[in-house]
Parts: sequence; C-alpha cells; structure tokens
Amino acid sequence: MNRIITSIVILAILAAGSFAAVAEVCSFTDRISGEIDVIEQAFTENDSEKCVNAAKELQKDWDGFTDFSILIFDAGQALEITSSIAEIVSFAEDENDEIYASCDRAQAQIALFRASHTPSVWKIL
Amino acid sequence: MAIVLLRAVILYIVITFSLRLMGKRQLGELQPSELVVTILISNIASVPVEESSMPMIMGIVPILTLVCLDVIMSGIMLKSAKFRKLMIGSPRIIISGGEILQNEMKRLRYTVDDLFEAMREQQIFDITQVHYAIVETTGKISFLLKKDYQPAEKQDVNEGGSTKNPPSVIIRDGIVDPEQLRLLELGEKWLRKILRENNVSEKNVFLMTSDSGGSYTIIKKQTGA
Repeated sequence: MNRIITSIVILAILAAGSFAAVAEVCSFTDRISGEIDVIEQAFTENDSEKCVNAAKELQKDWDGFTDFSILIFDAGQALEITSSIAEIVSFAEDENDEIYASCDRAQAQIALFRASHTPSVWKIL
Repeated sequence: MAIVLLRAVILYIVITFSLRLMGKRQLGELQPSELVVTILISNIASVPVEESSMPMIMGIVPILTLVCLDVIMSGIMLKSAKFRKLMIGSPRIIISGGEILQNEMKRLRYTVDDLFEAMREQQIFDITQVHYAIVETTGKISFLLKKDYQPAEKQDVNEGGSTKNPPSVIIRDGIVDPEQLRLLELGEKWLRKILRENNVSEKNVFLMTSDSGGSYTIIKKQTGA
C-alpha cells in the first residue's frame, strides 16, 4: 500500500510540475514578447535611452529565466534566443536599423520555444 | 566526460530506486506490463546519458511516470480480478487428463516444439507421462505428471486410485470464480454448504482451492490484511 501511495504522490508531483512549467513558459514568453515590442516601439520613436534600457532589461529577464530553465528545457533552443537578445542589445546601443530584423527573429524564436513546450493533441500524437 | 559520468550515476540511482519501488516481482518472472516498462526504462535511460544537451529531467520524468503507473496498475489489479484478467490474462490449460487440448494450443500460438521444450526443461521426456499442463500468465508451462510417474510419497503407500486434476482456486481475496466452480462441476450449492460448515463468509476468505473430488482448502483473511 505504501508503494501505491508513494507512486500516486510522485505522479501528482510530476503532473503538477509539468503543467506549472507549461504555465510558466506561457506567461514568461508573453512578457518577453511584450518587452521586445516596447524596444521596437522606442526605436521607432527615436527614444534611444528607453530602447537601450528596455533591451538591457530584456537581456536580464531572459538570463534569469535560463538560469533555471536549462534544467528543464533543451539548451540549444534557449541559446539561440540568448544570441538574438544579445544582438538586440548591441543594435539598440549602436542605434542600428538591423534591430528590427533581430526583434522579428527573437519573436519567432520565442514563439517556437513556447509552441514546443505547450502540449497539443497533434504534438502528443 | 564528467557530465556523462555524473548523469550515469544519477540515472543509476533513479533506476535502482524505480525498480525497488516496483517490488521484488520485477526481479522474477515478468508479466506483460512489467516487461514493457522494463524495456522502455532501459531505452529511455540511455538517451540523456548520450545526449548531454538534453536535460536529465527529460529522462527521469518518463522513467518515474512509467514506474508509478505500473505500481498503481498493480494496486488496481490486486483489488479487481476483472482488471487483473484484462491486463495479464489468466492461466490456460493445454493438457487435461493426459489429452492435449489442440484448439487451446492454437489459440495461444504454442507449437508442439514449445511444449516439448518446456517439458524437457522440467526433465519430462515423454508426453504420455503428463496428466495436466497449464500455461501461466508469464508464458511458463507447469506440468503435473500422471500418478504412476510421480515420485512416491509416504501417503502413496498402499493407496491406489487414479490421478486427479490439481486443485483450482475458487475464491481469491473474497471473490468467487464461477468459471472454476463450473469446470470442477461442484456448483454454487456445494460452495455455500462448505462455507457454512467452516463458519465463514466468502468475503472473509483469502484463498479457497478445491479439486474435482471436492477436497478443499480454505485460508481465511487475516485481520488488517
């Protein structure tokens, strides 16, 4: 009986952990995506100080997320996003127009990251 | 290199814990579901050791999930005879009264070669010596020899008579198996009479076996079991 109870507890913890991870990824990617929009908006309005600050904030948030997420998610996918965010910071500081392309790439990578961690019938099958 | 080493150590601990959680049954004869879990675990465990970019948790989660599901299934099987039958099937008789039940062997996809191989493993070399054979749920075949070929015991001295089929389980964990009662040709009425004589209700019987001659054994449930 103890084994069954232990198994039920472990299974419940695993299920809770898995769905909590999905919820965390969804809310975090929403936030990060919003931050990238703010960077693009600030760059368009020629507010370089706001753009640089927002880019650095984005980098800080992403680094904080990857510190623990590397334990759970594929490291390769996270590294691609880290590289795109580093480009955004660099282009924001240089006031380079390439920032739009970097933002679009980062948005696409984040959308893919989110999609790959959200369960759906098609992915399960 | 160090990462692979440490991952292997962690997975060794997780798998050892998992097999411990599955219990001693896992180390003996495997039931179909246990065989599936064992094969899957060995495959899943190798992936995170080889792929260092993959998080360890991707190996640990499925292993623990499979083991926990297997333990929970075992728990349900313990409580429900129907579920147990659905999951692991039931033993099937392939030789009864010295006669090979060919249709049953066909149904189980057992060939004569399989039968002879199983006989030889148990030091039986002549089919005519076998009175009764049953295919267990693990696929192993158990044999009962005819009386003339069984090793003599003290009670056999001065005792004649023919070989009877071995006793069958008619109550397990408080649940009557009507199929066995029918095969033994004993009937519900006989069972009620025996239970009344022993002053026990079927719910309080842990195990009751009987042979076709009506010779029975009753083991009552222990309190708190």
